[in-house]
Amino acid sequence: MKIENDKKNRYGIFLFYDRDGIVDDYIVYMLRDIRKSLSHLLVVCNGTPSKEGLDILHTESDEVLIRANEGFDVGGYREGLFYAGFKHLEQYDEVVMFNYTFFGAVFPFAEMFEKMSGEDVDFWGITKHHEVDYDPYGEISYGYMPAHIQSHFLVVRKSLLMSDAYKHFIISMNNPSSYVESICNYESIFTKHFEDLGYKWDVYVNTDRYERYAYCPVMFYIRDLLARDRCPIIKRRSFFTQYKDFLINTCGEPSAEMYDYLKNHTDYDLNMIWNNILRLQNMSDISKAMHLNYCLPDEVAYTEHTSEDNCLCIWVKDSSGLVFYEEHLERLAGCRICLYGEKEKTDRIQEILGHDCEVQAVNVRIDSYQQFVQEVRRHAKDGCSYYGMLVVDTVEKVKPYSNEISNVYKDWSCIAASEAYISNVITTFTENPRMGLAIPPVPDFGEYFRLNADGWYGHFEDVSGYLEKCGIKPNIDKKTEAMVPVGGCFWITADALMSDTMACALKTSVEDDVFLLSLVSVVQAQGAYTGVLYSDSYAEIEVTNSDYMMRELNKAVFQSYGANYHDVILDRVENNVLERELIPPVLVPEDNNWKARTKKRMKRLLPQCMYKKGKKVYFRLRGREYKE
Amino acid sequence: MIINNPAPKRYGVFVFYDKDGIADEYNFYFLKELKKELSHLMVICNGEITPEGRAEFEKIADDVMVRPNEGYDITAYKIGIEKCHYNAGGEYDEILICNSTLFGPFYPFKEMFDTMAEKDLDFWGITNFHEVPFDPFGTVKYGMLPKHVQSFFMVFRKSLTQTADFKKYWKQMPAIKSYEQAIGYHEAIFTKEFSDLGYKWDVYANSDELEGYTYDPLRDFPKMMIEKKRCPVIKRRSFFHDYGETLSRSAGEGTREALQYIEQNTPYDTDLIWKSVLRLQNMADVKKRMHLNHVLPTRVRLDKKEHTLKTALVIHIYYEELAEMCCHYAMSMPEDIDIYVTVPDEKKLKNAKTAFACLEKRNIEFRIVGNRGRDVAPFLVGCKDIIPKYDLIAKVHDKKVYQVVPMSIGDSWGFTCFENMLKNETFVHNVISAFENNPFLGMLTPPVPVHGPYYPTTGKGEWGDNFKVAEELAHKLGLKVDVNAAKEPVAPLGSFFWVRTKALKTLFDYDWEYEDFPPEPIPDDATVLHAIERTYPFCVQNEGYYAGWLLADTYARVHLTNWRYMNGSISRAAMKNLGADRFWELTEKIKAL
Repeated sequence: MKIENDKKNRYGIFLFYDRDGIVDDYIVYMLRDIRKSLSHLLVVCNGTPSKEGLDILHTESDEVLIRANEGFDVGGYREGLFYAGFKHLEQYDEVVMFNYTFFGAVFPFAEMFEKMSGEDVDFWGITKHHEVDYDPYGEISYGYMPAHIQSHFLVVRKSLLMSDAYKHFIISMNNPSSYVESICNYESIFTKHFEDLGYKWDVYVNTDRYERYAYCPVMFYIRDLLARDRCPIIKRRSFFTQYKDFLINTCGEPSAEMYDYLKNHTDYDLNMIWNNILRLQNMSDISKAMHLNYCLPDEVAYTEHTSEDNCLCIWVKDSSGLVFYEEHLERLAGCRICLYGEKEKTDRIQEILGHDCEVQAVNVRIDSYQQFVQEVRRHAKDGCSYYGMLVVDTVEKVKPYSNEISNVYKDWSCIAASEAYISNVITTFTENPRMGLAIPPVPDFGEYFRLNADGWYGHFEDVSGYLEKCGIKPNIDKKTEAMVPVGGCFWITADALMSDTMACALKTSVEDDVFLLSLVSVVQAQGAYTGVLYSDSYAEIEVTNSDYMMRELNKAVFQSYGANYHDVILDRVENNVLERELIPPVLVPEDNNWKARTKKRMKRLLPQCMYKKGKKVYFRLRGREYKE
Repeated sequence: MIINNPAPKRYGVFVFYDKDGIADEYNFYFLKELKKELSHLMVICNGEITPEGRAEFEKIADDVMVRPNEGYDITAYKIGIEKCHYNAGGEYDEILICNSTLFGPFYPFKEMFDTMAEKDLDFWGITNFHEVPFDPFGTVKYGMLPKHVQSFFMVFRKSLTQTADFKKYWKQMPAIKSYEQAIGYHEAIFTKEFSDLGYKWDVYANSDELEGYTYDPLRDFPKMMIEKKRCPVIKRRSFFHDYGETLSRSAGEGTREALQYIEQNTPYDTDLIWKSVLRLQNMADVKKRMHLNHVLPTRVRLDKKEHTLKTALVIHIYYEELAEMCCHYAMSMPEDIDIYVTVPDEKKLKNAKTAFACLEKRNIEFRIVGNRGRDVAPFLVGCKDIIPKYDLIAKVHDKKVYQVVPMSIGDSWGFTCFENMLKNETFVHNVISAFENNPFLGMLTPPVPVHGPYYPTTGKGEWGDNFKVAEELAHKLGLKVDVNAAKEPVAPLGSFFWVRTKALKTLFDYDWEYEDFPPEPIPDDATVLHAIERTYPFCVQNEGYYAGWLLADTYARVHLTNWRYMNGSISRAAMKNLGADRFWELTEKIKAL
């Protein structure tokens, strides 16, 4: 059926869930936009929202229904349908079921509703998941995953809604008790089930051109979907989903590409994304999904920039290894610098810096990193928006000390390579106002590799305990490596430095290592993200090291665990499943590949020993070497 | 003793070795400079020497000897010292021994000799090796490595050379058959042995404050030694030795930092280093030590100089649906650059012309090249006439991988290739500048993909089943550089690259014809196409240029995530099971499972 768009005769069921019951502004924005196309909006909450949240939901909808957090989104949709009653719903042209798992409307939903009203369909959605010719979960009744409308946004027209088939389906199904169940018993089968019954369906964003290219285009071609199809939504998952999902399908670029597009070509307020993501997700996961790495030139500046809005704060903790800092200090000509520490130590630095810099010294005895931060806060100046934190310390802790010299080299190259570089750092901050902290890469060479064996320098519990004491509820877990400025060198915005959260974090005293490991969470708690800075010339070294390590590691793991996709190998290493024989990665054969089909058929039909015998003969005929 | 003689007399022995007997220019410079401080120079060639090399040595040295390559440099030193009868007549104030493993001098040797002359010593060297409390070689009689003068450059004063101790030491030197013996029987023990006998010694580039930082200061802190200690030399091995060594105790920045310092602050001609290293060493080793990965900005030009290299873009288009994308990236080319589009047939030509309509006003030429040899024959055969017209060429094609599902995987590889080749005009300017500013740069390629099924490429698939065919081709082309199954080719595995045309001279001189390429369908491995793809960097190196990687800064952010995640997750998982360890030790543990 087609419908008359002008009537906007639609009943919306919005499924809300939030870990903390908070209603973020992206939801408000989304509801306001979609209500322009709805005549009635029911919000179903899986779990009880906060009081403020509930007030917001009441304001932004016609009705709010609160239920236990059970049955996932489909459980909520069902309860919404039952609450409204099929009888009542009969008066509407469409029922729109959608949830909180995406950001939008990037483009007005009205545009979409208008277009879809002219389509002769019985149900529709925004995006679809393409067919997968096997069953990735092993529980789908069809034995494979049919093409299906993704359940984050599903519209059912009266022609289907009022049918016995639909009512029967919805009424007789059980609420799923797991994520997998919700996919296998609802999302992935719904479309085919009703298509087989003769109901017509379509999606607003036609992704037929990605058939065979991607099962889930909204994740892996999202930039194109925005740019070419005016797809109005972006999945929240794009910003933090486990990174292996990206690597199985792409080289990892989709979300970063999407974000650049969103930033440069749309009006969507990115703060709505950050407010939600930074409140809930793990910073290391976000960093990977969005590639919050910044490779900046150290020889030329993007723009003319004065040093007035920034200051390099150097804690001169120990000047015995000064000779190793000289070359780095000499590169700071033209910068504004404030030295912290005892006079005899800061004097020596001042000597090296000479007269090309604007240098000031705060001569106090500082015993801990927290105290250093405290002093920098105390001497903060109006108009200074960015603080570059650096430490001059003994380099005789990790043997052989050449390790530490390299770490100093890395930190200073990535934080303060030159005046031009610093200007580029500041430009990066101004263009990314939600970045609060920028750190050098975590060292992974020499002895540091061993020291960081668990990704937390052995301090995960200490960090969790400290953050709890500070009243910060971070999303961190032991299995996901920490982002940490190990050497105490980083850039931080004045907002983050002067925040109450920081003040609070400084009140609970803790050893330097733990404080630095907690810093990313402290900054995240005030709504800012952490980026990783690379000078272009250090990035060149990092490329060598990463590539070298990957090659040597691969040679070793392939020998013991076989060669395959990274996630497969990782799984084998984690569970120590040895695989002596080297098996090349399995490429899915082309559909029309006669050889592959025959092979499959023979393997299925023949007893194993006969199949093997046949294979041997075949190999001999082809002159190939046969291995068991 | 202190040398009071205002014009000291010195006898020098220089030991030369090269696997092909070729003496690179750096040797001549080194010797000419050294000769200024010597009254007699003897050059001993261990093994072969070309007639030209010998002639050149004879011009500089007083005596040139060629002997079989036996007993390492030590045996040759011994012969040299014997030749002057252990300075029996006391003719020389100093006897010097050194070898061809050094680049330099960065400062006049006079500076060093004058400084040392004032010191009361019996023997000295340029640098020392710090004490190691154990014996990693198993040949050292002390069971540890005592602090010692490094044997690549040692000077013995008259007060030592005329003694029975000295004579006895050399006379009793056992035959040396291995590197470990060379260390254990001489290098590591000489200093302690004579020091224990009461002879005084020192080194010019003192590194006492680096105790605890390194065992081998010149190896691990070359820049500091050259800059702060005025060490006049650097070891050749810095430029190619196994990278794992440096990564086990540093971030690996040492060699590149030193080279930059030498280039910017000393009169030494670093071309001498490049020429020798590129002739002799494996490209993959050199790439690592020198970090030949160009990460270039996409939003700012590194310099605004007008380009001097004449440049062209060559694109091959087979898949009609990708022509538009190719055009999008072709638009990154600055206006004055010529564009060549090759296609298999008339139909695809029409399609390509439509897709490239927006570039109509540019200097663009379309060519029909037939459907043989994928994108390679169209370049090597279909474009061979244009090669002499240009200094620099960017070669790309419409990358599509239809064998791997989901095809987003192949799409992403195409993205990797194009983004790192032709991200935008600013980036392209920076690439051209990189070729202009680095005269030894011959070829740049996007990095190897690591995602999805491409993950095993690194460490396994770089050669894959293609080593034999590549080696055969290298042989056919007469390449003399190291093509090594154990070391990955720095190859354009996606068949995308920027190349200095001069650097592909050998390959184009072969005069490829379409018939040299197999007709479709072609096998997945071991065809001449696979061989050529992997042989490019060796051709480039054979012409005296280097091959490296090219990354747009916007793409580097992605690949850095990938590497960090992939290496980090596997390392942590392995260490959880096997215990925390250093990287190399961990890989050994994994292999031993």
